[in-house]
Amino acid sequence: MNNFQAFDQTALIFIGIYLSTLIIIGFFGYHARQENTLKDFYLAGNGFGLVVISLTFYATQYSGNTLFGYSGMTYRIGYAWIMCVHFMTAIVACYLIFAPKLYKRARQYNYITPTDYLQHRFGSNSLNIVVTVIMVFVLSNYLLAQLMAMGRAMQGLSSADPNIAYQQGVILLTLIMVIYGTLGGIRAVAWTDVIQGSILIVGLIVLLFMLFKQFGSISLATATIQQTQDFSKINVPDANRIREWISYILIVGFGSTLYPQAIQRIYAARSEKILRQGLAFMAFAPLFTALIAVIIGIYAIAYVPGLEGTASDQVLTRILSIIQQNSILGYWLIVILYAAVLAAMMSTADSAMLSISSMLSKDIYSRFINENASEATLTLLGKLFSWCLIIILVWLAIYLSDKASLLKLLDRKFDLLIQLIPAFMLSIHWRGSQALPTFIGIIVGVFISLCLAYGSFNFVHEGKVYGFHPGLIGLVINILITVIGSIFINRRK
Amino acid sequence: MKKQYWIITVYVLLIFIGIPWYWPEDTNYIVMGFPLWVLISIFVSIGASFFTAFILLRYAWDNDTDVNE
Repeated sequence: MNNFQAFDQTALIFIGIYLSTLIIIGFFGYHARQENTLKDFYLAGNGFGLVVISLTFYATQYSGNTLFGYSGMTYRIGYAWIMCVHFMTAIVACYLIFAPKLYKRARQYNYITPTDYLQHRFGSNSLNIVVTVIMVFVLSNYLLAQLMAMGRAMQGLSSADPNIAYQQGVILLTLIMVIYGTLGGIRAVAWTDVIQGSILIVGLIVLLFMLFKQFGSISLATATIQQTQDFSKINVPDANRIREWISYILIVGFGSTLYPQAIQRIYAARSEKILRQGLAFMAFAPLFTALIAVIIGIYAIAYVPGLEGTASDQVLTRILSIIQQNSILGYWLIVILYAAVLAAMMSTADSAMLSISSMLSKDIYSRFINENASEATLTLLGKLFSWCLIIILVWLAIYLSDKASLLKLLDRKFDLLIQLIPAFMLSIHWRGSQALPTFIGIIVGVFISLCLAYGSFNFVHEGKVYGFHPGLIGLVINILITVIGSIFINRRK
Repeated sequence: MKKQYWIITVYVLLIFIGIPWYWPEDTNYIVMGFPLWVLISIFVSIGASFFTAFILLRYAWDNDTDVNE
C-alpha cells in the first residue's frame, strides 16, 4: 500500500490501540471458556448468538483480497466484474443445499471438524484422509496469501525500507493473530470478527460517500470512461466472459461453502433460527461489500487511468490516497479504512488457522496416532499445531514475497474444494452414496482439474477451458464416478 | 425445508436474467449512471438477496427427515 501520505503519531496510536484490543479480546476469550475441550475451544460450547454469528460469517468471508482484488479486477475488465456480486450472493444460496441437514446432524452428534460428518456418514479412513489433505492444503495456501497481504499492508504504514517493513508487518500482525487465536480459540476469533466486520462495513459505506464527494456521481464516472480509450470497459461482455460468469457463480458459490471454517461456522450457531438469520444477513453482504469494491474500480478507471499489470491491484490504494490528501475527514477515514483492511485480512486468516489446527489435532492426531488422547491434550496440541504452522507460513510468506507468479501457480483452491461436493452435498441427500466411489471420484476430479490447469493444452486459456474453470470439468467426472459407482455397489448388495 | 423445486427454478431464472447474455455487444444505454445491463444485474442481485433471505426466514429447517438416518 504505497503512495500514502505517512500516518501521523495519533493515527499510528489509533492503529496500535486497535491491534492491542485484539490481544485483550484473546484474554477475555480465554477467561470465558467453560471447559477445556475441543468443542469449547473450536465451537464455543453451545455456540454463538445472532450478532456474533452474522459478523463472524461476514468477516471470515470477506478478506483483504476482496477489497484489493475486486477493485483491481474491475479496473482491468470493467463493469463485467459485477459478476462478483452474483457469485458472492450464490454462496449463501449454496448453503441452502446442505446447511439445514448438516446443522441438524452436527448438533445431534457433536461434530467439531468437517470430516466428523464424513466419519459418521461413511466411516472410511481413506476418504477422511484425502478430504483432510485437500482442506489443509487449500487453507494453508489461503492463509499464506493473507499473511503476505498483511506484510504489503504494513509497507504503507512504515517509512522504513519496503522489504524490512514487509517482514516486520508479516511477523507482527501474525504474532498478534496467533496470540489471540490460541488464547481464546473460536471465541476470540469470533469476537474479534465482530469488531473487524463492523469496522469494515462502516468504513466501506463511508468510503462510498467520500467517493461521491471527491469525484462526483457514478454517472459522471461512466461518462468519463466513455470518452477515454477504456470505453470498452462499459460494454456488454463477450461470449467467453459470459461463460466465465456462469463458471464463477458455480465454482465460488459451491466452493466457498466447503471451506472448513465455513462448515465449522454452521456447527457453531447456537440454534437453527440464529443460523438462518445469520445467513439471511449474509445474503445482503455482497451489496455493501463486493458492489462497493466494483464501484471503486469504476472510479479508478475514470480518474486513475494508465495502471498496468500488478499496479492495477493497487487501485484501491490510489483512490484512498487521493481522498486522504483532500480533507481531515478523508485522512481519518483512510486511517479507519486502513484498520478495516488489516481487520479483513486478520479475520480471514485467524479462522483459517484455527480450522487447520482443529483438523490436524482431531482428524489426524486423535484418529490415527493416539485414539485415547484426552480432550485437554488435543486442545493443547491444536494450539501447538497453530504455532508450528504459523512459523512455517511466516517463513514462506517472507521467502515468497517477490515470487508472486509461484504463488499464483499454487492457487487452485476452488478447483480443488468443489471436488468435495459429492462427499458433503450429495451424500447428505442420497442414502445410496458410497465411500469408495466418492473417494475415487475426488482423486479423479482433482487429477483432471490440475491436468487441465497446468497441462498447457491449446484449448485452455488463462487457466480456463472456454471460460470455464477446470475444476467444474473435474467435478462432472467426479459426480459421474460417485453416482455410477454407488449404484453399482448398491445393486451388488 | 422440504425439497422444493420451485426454489431452484427461481434461482435459475434469476441467473438467466442477471447474466447479460441476451444483449448485443454494442448496447450502451446508460440509466442512473450505470450501463442498463449492469443495472439489471444489480437489481437481479438485490432480488436474489431478498429471495434467499425470504427462504431462510420463512421456512424452518427442522421439518426435515434426514434420509441417512
